[in-house]
Amino acid sequence: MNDLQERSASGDLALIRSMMEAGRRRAAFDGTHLIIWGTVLTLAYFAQYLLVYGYIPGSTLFIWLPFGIIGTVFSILHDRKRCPQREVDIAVKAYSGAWSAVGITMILHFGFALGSDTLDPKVITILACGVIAAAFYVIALATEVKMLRLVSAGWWIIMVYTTTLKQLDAEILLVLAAASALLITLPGQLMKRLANPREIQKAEPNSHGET
Amino acid sequence: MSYDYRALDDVIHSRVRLAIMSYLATARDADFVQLKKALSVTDGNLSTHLSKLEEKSYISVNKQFVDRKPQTRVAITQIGDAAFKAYVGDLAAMLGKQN
Repeated sequence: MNDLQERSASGDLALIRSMMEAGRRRAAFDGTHLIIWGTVLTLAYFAQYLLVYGYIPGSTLFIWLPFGIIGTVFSILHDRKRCPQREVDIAVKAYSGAWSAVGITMILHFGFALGSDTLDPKVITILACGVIAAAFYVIALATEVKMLRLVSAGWWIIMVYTTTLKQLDAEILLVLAAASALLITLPGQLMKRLANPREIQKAEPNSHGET
Repeated sequence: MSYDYRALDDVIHSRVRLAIMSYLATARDADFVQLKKALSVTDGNLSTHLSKLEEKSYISVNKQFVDRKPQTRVAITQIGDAAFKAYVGDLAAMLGKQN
């Protein structure tokens, strides 16, 4: 056999495919955004729970505005560490588009409801769960990470559960705090691991004797 | 299926460099540690391959300090992007000929 024909094309294509997938997952999200926002939401929901029972002073806006600013600032700081010349990939588009849609929807609804004094906890909870579930489903499709479909399903279940409640009590805030930790922060940690896989267990030498 | 690599870009064709270029083609940038983890190679091995890619301007390597710690960031360049796409195209064409 010709010594220049040591490698298989299918092996090279498999390597290209797996490394591109790994890069795409990392580009789409390395989990940090999810960890930041999951933590922020967990703390915000818990703070609001304490507010409802009078353990801390303030108002709903007093709770959510600082947490929203903190989450935004940390996200921007994280993005600044990354390369600015990022080419737009479908998974990146899906990720940023989905979460931008969540942010814009929630800010618009929150602002409008507060401004018109029609803030309904049940409506905003259903809306939040629905848009987060949809965002996870979109990025599950784009990144082909199946675990994210389960996360999406988790948010759908909470949304359906909320719709069945005749009246929301403060305990739903604890449910949402736990959901934010388990269904946003935890997937973020898992995505961080997925973004740094060990694709080449042993670098094989090529025809030049290089690896 | 084996194939004659000679028609392909020799710089990219090395298995580790191919893996680096494939990863960066979609990730666009990565720090040295991330790349090392993704490829499971040693520091020295990775440095050698990055140098070869940098010599051809396929990647850019920037050293900076983040939180007072040195960090090496690697990003694919437009030249590198075009070369990688050409490599994959050549590989696909070669497979087409064989099939």
